[in-house]
Amino acid sequence: MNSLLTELPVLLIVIPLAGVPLLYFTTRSGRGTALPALAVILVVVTLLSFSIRDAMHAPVVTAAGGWQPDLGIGLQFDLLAVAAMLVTSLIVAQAILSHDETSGAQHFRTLLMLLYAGSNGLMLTQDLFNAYVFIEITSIASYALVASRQDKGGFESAFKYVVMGSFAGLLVLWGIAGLYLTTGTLDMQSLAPRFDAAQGAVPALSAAAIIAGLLIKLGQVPFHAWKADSLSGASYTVSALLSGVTTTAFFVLLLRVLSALPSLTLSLAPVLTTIASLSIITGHLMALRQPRYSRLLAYSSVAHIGYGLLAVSSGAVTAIAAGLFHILVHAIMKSSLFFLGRSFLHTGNRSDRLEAIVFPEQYRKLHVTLYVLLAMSMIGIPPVLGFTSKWYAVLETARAGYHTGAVLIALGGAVALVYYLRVGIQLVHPGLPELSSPGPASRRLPVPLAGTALILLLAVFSDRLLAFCVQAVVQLLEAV
Amino acid sequence: MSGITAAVLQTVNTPHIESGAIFVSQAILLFGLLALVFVALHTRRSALWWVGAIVHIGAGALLPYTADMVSFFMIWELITVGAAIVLVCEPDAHGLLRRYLPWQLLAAALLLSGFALHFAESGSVALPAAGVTAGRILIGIAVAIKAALMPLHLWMVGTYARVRPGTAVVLSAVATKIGVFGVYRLLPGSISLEILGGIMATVAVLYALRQNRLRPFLAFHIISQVGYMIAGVGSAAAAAQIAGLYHLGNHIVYKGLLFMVVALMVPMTGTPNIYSTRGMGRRSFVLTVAAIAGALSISGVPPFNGYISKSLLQYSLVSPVAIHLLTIAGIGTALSFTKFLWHGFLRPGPLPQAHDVGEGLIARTGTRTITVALSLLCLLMGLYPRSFFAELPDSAGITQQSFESGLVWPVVGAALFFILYGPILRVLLVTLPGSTTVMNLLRSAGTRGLQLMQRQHTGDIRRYLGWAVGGTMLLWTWVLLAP
Repeated sequence: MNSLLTELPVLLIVIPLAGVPLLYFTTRSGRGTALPALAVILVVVTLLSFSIRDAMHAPVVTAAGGWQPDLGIGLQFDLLAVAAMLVTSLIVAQAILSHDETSGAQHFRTLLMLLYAGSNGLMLTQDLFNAYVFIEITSIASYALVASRQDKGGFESAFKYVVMGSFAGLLVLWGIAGLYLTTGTLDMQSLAPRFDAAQGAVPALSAAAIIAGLLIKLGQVPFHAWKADSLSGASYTVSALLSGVTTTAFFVLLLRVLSALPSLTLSLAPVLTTIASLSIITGHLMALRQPRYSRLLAYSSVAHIGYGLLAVSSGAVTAIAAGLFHILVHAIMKSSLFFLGRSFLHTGNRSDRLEAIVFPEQYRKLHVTLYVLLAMSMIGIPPVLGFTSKWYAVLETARAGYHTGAVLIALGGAVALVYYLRVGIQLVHPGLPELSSPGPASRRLPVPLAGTALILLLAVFSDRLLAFCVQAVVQLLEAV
Repeated sequence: MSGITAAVLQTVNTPHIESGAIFVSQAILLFGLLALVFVALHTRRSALWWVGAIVHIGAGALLPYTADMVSFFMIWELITVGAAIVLVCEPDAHGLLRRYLPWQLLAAALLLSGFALHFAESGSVALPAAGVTAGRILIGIAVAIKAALMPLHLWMVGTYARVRPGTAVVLSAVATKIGVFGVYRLLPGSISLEILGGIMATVAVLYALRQNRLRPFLAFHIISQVGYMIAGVGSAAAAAQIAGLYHLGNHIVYKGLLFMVVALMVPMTGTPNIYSTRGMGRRSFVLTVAAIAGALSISGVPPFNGYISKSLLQYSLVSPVAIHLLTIAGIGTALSFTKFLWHGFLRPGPLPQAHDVGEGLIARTGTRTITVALSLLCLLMGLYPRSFFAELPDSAGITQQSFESGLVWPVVGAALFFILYGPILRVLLVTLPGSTTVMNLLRSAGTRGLQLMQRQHTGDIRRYLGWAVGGTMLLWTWVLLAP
């Protein structure tokens, strides 16, 4: 068991990666069951849950191939990775269930598995260049997924996503090269002293470039504009993945980078706070007047990631933990809202314009209930998990001395109410004439049932969840 | 954090019990039960409506006992949730929710951030006895929204005047009173709150005088009476706080009574217009008595309950400005309710055609019994104030002398109605800015800003790339210039 434990970080990447060809060959015709993909996730989650106890004790660090970090690549399995990977696994599993063969993407599950492997790698790696590789793996999978709707809108979205994603990749790569040139290492745990000792402006500029690249990936103002365009062109399932899985992974990586460079983080704190505040304001205000469901959700994501970034930029341990907690909760609820959007299609209606969306007859009440609970969570109305995570974010940001930021987070909910209410009213009382040709009736239960149930149930334990996040952040900061 | 939980658990088990909280809670609960019975006898409502109403009133009665910020906030939200459920059951639920919820959520958000600031400074979630030390402005705006202080009152006039009459009775009891209780519990007493209350009482009465429809007229009088309460509970003087709280209890009773009277008379006269209602005096003796009792109470005529709290306020307030403002508001209130009584009940003239809309329901005696009971309660709370609220000073009560002096200003108000109402109304119509004007200005400015922002997001990838490059440049500049 002990040797398994030391190889665990590798397994968590390799198992989904091995699933890629497996799924490719078993689903060649574009059909097939979801079971192999679900089995892979089940294995990963089982491994995760068996090793939480060890990770609690101390982070499991593996030197890949026996080469010690600094020369080789280090992988670190800590509580931060556990928390984030549990959330992303849930979302990926929901995506597998949500997908059906009618919606394009011949190799949807294959690409999905690639995305899963890449995001796991992003959250585990301790080496900057290795992180870049995983960024590219994740990105290539998601470009293909966005394009998989195979219509004009899908291609346009994918094109924008590729352009912005490549620019972000370029910045990160440039930054990595600069850091390696001046410090001689890419290992995040040993970077800090050499970074501080390095002469000239290149190290700081390089690190700033990496952070800018990650901010593009996260979609923060002024790097945010691609987000709504890309998410609205993708299918709902893919949008759910992008706003749930990749966002979480990039946020975790950003946390690792920031904690690896404490001196730079300190001097960048005012900028990060400004970026986060602008994102909160822009995201909520832009969401107010969006004509389409997915664009609205995309802008709301900009604002919510802003909450997380704001809490993180305040620098206090508990605030960082609260920010992380909110990002994880946001991943669950936002992806669930996107998955819920898939049900619109079962009415035979392809448009997601707000005046046209309507839930199918089957399980309409259940759908509406799910929407209401998720919207309450997004707005931050008790007693759902979204409220507690937001409450902690407000509280801890205020405690860290960022009073304006705390007020911004709290006020965001009031704006969010307006647009979620607008959607809710449409969903409860669709003013649409009966559609002439209703789509294939789905007898399946709505997929986000799982996510919503979690949002409800976990609210009771939000205290312990936050404590878990605090422990994860403490581990992260101690490791450096 | 476990620290927060520990702090919450310590306080959550020890509810905050003091006479002010008990009085407010019992007033809300007692009136709430009567209002529910009234609605049950008056009209048929769906099961969901009942759930909402019970949650609304129950949470309202619970809130005064909370001892920590977390449960205060949760129950505060529960009140909103209850009201939202009630509004969902109304016809035109969309319009009502659009008017009601954004304001309430804004209040909640402000309250939450205010609490967060206070917690950040004091490190404790317990509600401080002497008012919060930090986040005072945010909490102040939050309770001002809940108490419907102008110009944050639009949610109340927008909903109370549009829901069905019985619903207005239930809603009138809780939300604004909770706002007042918030001032009492959360904010430290100050002269500025006294003066603010005085201004609010006066301005709202002027707006009420302008109204020609029954329920907006009552809604503006709520704001005005809330002004009295704010002046009282916001004062630093303990006696004024007691008087303010007693006014709150009195108000729940007589304003509920008046809403019930209106709910019963609108189907009988068939019009919500004050100037067209007439002849109620000859149609229903019981309703006439109830309307007169309510009007005398709100105008502060002895020996009814409004007089007790209003006269106590006059004696105990610190700021002379506030005292004068409240006197003016009192005259305006008397004037306004003389208008109500005269047109609806006392004016001679031909009876309008009888409407049988809902007449069958009205014929029931149950609803009228409740109005009689509330009228009696108004009288008893005036005659024996200390049996209802033991904290009141010994001097509270009716004597020969106070009876005579208490009559002066209401009589002046009533006289003004018969002599000068026409000119006063004309002046008010010209001088007071309509609330819609201000709202439209704000709305158009907001829309412009949003449009500007939206126009920047053209969907052009070159532009977006430009922003990203610019952002990176800014980040680099900062890194280069930072120490």
